[in-house]
Amino acid sequence: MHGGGRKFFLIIALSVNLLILGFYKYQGFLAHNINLALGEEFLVDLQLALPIGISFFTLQAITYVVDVYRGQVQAQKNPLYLGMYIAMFPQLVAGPIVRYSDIEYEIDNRQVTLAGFAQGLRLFCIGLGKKVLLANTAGGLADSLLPLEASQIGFVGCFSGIAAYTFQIYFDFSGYSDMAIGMGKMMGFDYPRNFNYPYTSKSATEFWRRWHMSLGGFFRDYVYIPLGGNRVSTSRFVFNTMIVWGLTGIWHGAAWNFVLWGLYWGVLILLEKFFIKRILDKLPVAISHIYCIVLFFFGWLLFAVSGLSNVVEWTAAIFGAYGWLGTSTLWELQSWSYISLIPIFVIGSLPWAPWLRKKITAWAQGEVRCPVVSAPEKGNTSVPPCTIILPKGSASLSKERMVLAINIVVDVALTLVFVLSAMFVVSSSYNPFIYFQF
Amino acid sequence: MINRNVIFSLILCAIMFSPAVLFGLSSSNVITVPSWLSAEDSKWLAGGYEVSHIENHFNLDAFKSGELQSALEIEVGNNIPMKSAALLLSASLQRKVIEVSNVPFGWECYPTFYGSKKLYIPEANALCRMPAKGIGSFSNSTSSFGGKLALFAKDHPDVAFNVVLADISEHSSLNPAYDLSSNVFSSMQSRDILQDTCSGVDNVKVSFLQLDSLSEYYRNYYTTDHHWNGFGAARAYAALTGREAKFDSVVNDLSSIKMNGSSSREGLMFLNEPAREPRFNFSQIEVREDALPYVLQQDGARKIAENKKVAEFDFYHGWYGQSVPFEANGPGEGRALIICDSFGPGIQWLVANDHETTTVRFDMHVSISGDQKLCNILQETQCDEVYFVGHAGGFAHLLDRFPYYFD
Repeated sequence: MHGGGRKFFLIIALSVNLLILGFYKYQGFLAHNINLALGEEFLVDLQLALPIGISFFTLQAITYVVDVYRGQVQAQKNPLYLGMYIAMFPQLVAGPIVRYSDIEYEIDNRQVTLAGFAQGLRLFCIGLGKKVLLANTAGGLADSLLPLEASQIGFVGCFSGIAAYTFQIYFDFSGYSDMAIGMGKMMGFDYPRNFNYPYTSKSATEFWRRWHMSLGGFFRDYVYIPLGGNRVSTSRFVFNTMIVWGLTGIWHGAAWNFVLWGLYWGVLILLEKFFIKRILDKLPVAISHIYCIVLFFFGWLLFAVSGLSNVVEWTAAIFGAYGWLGTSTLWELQSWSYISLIPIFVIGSLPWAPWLRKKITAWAQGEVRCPVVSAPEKGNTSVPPCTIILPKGSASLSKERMVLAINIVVDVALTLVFVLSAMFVVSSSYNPFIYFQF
Repeated sequence: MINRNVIFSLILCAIMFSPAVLFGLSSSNVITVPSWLSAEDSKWLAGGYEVSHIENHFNLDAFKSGELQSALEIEVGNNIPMKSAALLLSASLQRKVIEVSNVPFGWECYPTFYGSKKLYIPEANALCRMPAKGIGSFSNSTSSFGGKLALFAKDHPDVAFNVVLADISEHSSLNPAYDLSSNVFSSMQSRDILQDTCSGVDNVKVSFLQLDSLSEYYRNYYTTDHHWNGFGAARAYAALTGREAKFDSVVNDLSSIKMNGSSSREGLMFLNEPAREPRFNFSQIEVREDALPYVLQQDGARKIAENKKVAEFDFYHGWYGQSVPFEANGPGEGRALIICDSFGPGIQWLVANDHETTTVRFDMHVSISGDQKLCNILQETQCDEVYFVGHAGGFAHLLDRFPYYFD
């Protein structure tokens, strides 16, 4: 097919995908804002139900179409396989955004092995535990505080609400990703990693290399680079960056606070590129970490609090506008009841697992020192989850047995996590009758 | 490594598929699943269960409306194995975490699990409710009730109106969480408003049994249920009438019963409260209904103890009666009408024992609403004494549910 014809079909395919996404996800938002601007009901809000996973599978379809156009992948002739790629259930609802090139080979050549199945199951248990035990628990506090007026709950309520949300969204999102990657692994697919301990970041730039990596990669490769990337004039570079981050924001939800959230990160990344990075490089690492924590804390405030006026109120409350407690008491805010979970939430956000694995492996192999490594980026194929593997002959028999015992203890712990998670899922739907109905 | 992968995979798959296997085996009567291994015990814990009627929802309309999905959820929920154990254990784990979190603060009470509306008071080994918020709206609504009652009473000078206010824990100032919360409305505030609005009306009497300490409170109210026990009801009746309720001892036959009432069920925390009730003499009361509560039955203490589920999870209503309307004849004089919520059963037999006829309506109950008028009810029952029995919330919301009640 000629270049012009290929481009035509590319444009058609992209337009259809984006129109469908735009229609279902943004029709109400557009209608509301156009009507507000015109002062009359010019467009009817159709109150459309959002098809499950439309934000994710639309981007996956776009990656396929563009990669075929670019010649990076072969067009899939089998519509069932293409449908399977786009609607693959593990990552349909919450990602990661899997590119066709990631699984092109695996569609026809994947192998379902016992080792892969068990590895996937382990990762699934980790993800389930993160989602049910950690995210849902943190979410309990966030859900109780976020709908309230800032003046009602003051600094303590607003701070603890956003802090709870910070942990909730990380464990929720990364938990779902782990479950999706784990389920894919069970079926022989190696999906890319989506989160790489983002809360250990030292800058906004680094944060977005660790948070929702598949989304960042999508906007980099399919929006930013086609716009020219950074190989353009400074003003165009700024424009490209703000477009990408505006789109990133609006992709997350049809509301102005999501746009604001996206632009917030865009501005920060630009400021770091031009000014702040030079300063950060000279600061102690601890200061850089605190700087980044403040950034993503306020970022989540923009993300979680609905309504721009509420965002202003909540920001004011964080800076003490409504006192420590607003009109509430410390007890009734219930933030105190989560204090003993803070160490668990913090540790859960840190790369203690790869650190511990490296330490144990180094100990078993008689190495005195071992470097701290961050987690691998793709698919965990090189490092199976929750498993320490010693190269043959690299450790003594007693140490090999010790490592085996550690691996077994880990399996027992994962089984416990699975059972606990199942229990917590059951209890979350408990809705007793006050008066006996029998 | 291979063995480890095999064993781990088998165990996880067994855990994942065992509920479906259990369901299949028990549905086809291959095995009989004990109640603790099924969802049966959890139905008693929840105080009931929804029937899914799933067979009626297998159609496109039900799918589009979401009814099919809801029915599936209900059906799955009704068949989760070991559901009761799962509920209690997960609540217990969360409670331990909350208890640890409370160490630096030393609050006198804390939620029984994250998001629970029930609080545990370690000092009293008792459960109570989260204080009810909204002092403004409660005050206005109570004032509206009191004002309309006063006007109504003036129009019916030959009828005596008695307001008996029960000190439910969500409105009790003895609740340790009361002083820890803001914008809360107490039973005493309700009493004060009712007394103020009904002052100067001779045929209205407002009564509230004021208790002085938490330990005294839980001698008169259950530690695992939100109702008063027989001692509390009797003292409340005595506070109203000036007459001591006649009982001379505790019903010893109930001592084997360990109750876990509504607060335990909702709070997912079993305290195994020993049942302890006064031995009233209700032998002269005749009730025109088929099912007598155990307090009226010959050998009722033994019978309720044999009905283990009711004894444990619904002792108050099992012993004193359900919140269903009825009429009774008694050895006393006069015709009484009791308009109450679920606090009514505890006191209704004391009233019935002092009147010739007693009619009981549960119009104060949160689940009842209508367009009835009290004047019509008075005409039907020909009563000369009306008892409003309930907690502060019941009085505040009666007119929301019966807007024409005092018309």
